[in-house]
Parts: sequence; structure tokens; C-alpha cells
Amino acid sequence: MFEALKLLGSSEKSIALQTRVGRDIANLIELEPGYQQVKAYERLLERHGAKWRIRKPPTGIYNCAGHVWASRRTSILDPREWQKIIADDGYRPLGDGESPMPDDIVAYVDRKSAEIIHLARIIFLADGLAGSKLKIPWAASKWNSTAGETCHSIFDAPYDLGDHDIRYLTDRPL
Amino acid sequence: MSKELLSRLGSDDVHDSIVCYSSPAAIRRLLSRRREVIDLRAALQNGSLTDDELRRHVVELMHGFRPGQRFDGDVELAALAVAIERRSTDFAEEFFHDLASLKLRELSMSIGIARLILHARQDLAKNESRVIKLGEPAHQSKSFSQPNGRGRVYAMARNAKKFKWGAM
Repeated sequence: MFEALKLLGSSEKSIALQTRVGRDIANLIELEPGYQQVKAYERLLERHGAKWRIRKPPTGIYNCAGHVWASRRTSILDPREWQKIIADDGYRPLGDGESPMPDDIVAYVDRKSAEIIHLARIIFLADGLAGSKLKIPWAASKWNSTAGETCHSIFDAPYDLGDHDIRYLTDRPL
Repeated sequence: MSKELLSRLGSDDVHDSIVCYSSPAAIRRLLSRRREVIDLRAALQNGSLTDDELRRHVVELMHGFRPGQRFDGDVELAALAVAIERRSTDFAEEFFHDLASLKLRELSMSIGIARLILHARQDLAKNESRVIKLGEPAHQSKSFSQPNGRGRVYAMARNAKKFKWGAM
């Protein structure tokens, strides 16, 4: 079935990437998006992106975790690798009463599986509703390894917030 | 009908449903809930779609592969993998082993999902028990699920010359 493809050998490319304590992080430098991926991304913008600010058109190479933790150099696809980075690099969840700050990380977590499904970097805190002291964090997101980058309110994400939790991760000391 | 079922795996709706996800585990979970995948699974179970048709479809689909370019059929292949993930046939075995062994970023999504599924199938196989009843005629052999729903227990007659895994 895939005999011809086996003859091509390997086209996978990755870089040396480790956590702070030296554990290897599996990664893959993804190819540029094809027609299908670009079209799907355009439909995503049509459906959800009315208030998003586009930072970058569709691109390959990195996904959300590669954006947040590998400086846009590669994709880190396996959430088990994400957990290694969180543990080894000194990230902690924000406590009750702590407010997120720019450069903290927002994580969208599937409530059923408890798995992080998306990560994004908080870039600024916007004013909330008139009269409210609460600020609304905005994040820069790379939705997958072929999407573009967009800036959005963390509450304006294409996930059903009935099924997903929003959590914050920070490297700031307590 | 079968052609239509298969082509639906690569529809815009399927692409759109996974556009905000990059981990193979999350994509596998989402695809497994898709109507297109559920319908294909049902067609395989009731025999209106066969492994030979799947094989022909995959071969045809792979004609679109171009080295160095992201494969447009990647999502379709990933959805097919999820549709047959619990199927124990020679075709499924070959499909998962061959796809998981590829190292091509042109189809990174389907390869990632095939590796995940292959791992899960191997874990399941480790959990499998076999009951061999000696002296029982072959036609009385049967298989049944374990009470915990994981794996299957197969009863096999001593004189059964060829043992085939039942479709799961």
C-alpha cells in the first residue's frame, strides 16, 4: 500500500531541543501548508475571527507549543512533551487571586481528557467592561502547525468553553 | 455509496473540525466522533464496504502524493485510520504498520495518528487472553469480550487448522 513511499526514506526534520534539566523534547519541523490547510484556515477566520487581529499568514514549521517554547523553530506535537517542559522548566499554574501578566501562557484544557489542547502566549491585558477593574488577557495564537498567527481575547477562541477550561501557566515565582 | 462514504472523510467539514488542533491524540479523539467516521465504521461492520475497497481507495489516494509538499489527503488518511482503529483484519494490520513506519513530514498527521493507534493496539493485544478448549469441533469455536470490555477471549478448537481473528 505504501511501498513507494517507503523507498523515499525519511523527510522528517527536527532540531536538538531539551528542557532546562536536559530531557530531550521530540519535535518536527513541519512543511508549509498546502491548499487544503490554507482553505481550512481561511474558513476558521470567517467563522471565528471577526474580532481577531491577524499577525501572520498561514505558515508551516511550528505549532502552538513550538511558538510558545521553541521560538517558532519547530513543532512540538505530543502533549506528553508539553508536560515535560512544564515540569522541568519551572512553570506553575496561577493561583486564585493571581492575575495573568504578559508573557504568561494560557492553556486550553479539554475537560474530559484533562489534556491541554492549545497553548498561547499572553501579549497584553485589555481594558474590561466600562467601570470594571478586571482586565481581559489577549494572546498570540498559532492554531496548528499550518495555521497563521492571530491575536485574540483569550475568551474568543474556537473551542467550546463548555467543554474546555482556560488555565494560566507562569514561570514567575510565588 | 462506498465511494461516497470514503470521499466524505476528506470533506471541508472534517478539515474544519480539526483545524485548531495539532496533537495526534486530540485529533484522533475528534475524528472518532465525526459522523463520517462513524458511518464508515458501520459500513465496514455490516459488510457494505470491504477491505479490498479500502485498499483500492488508499492506493488511489496516494497517487496525489508529491515529495516535499504537504499531502492534501493527509486528513482523509488520518480519518480512515481512526475509522478502522479497532478492526482486526490483515488489511488493518498492514495499514497501521506500514503507515506508522513512514518518516515523511508530507503526511505527518496521519503518520502520528497511525503510531498512536498502533501503540494502543499493541497494548490491547498484550491484554488479550486466549482460551483453548481441547477436543471441541471447530464450528463451536467462538470469541467473546472480557467483562471489562478490553480485549477479547477466543475459544479455539484443537482441530482448527486456520485461526482468524474476528473483526472487532
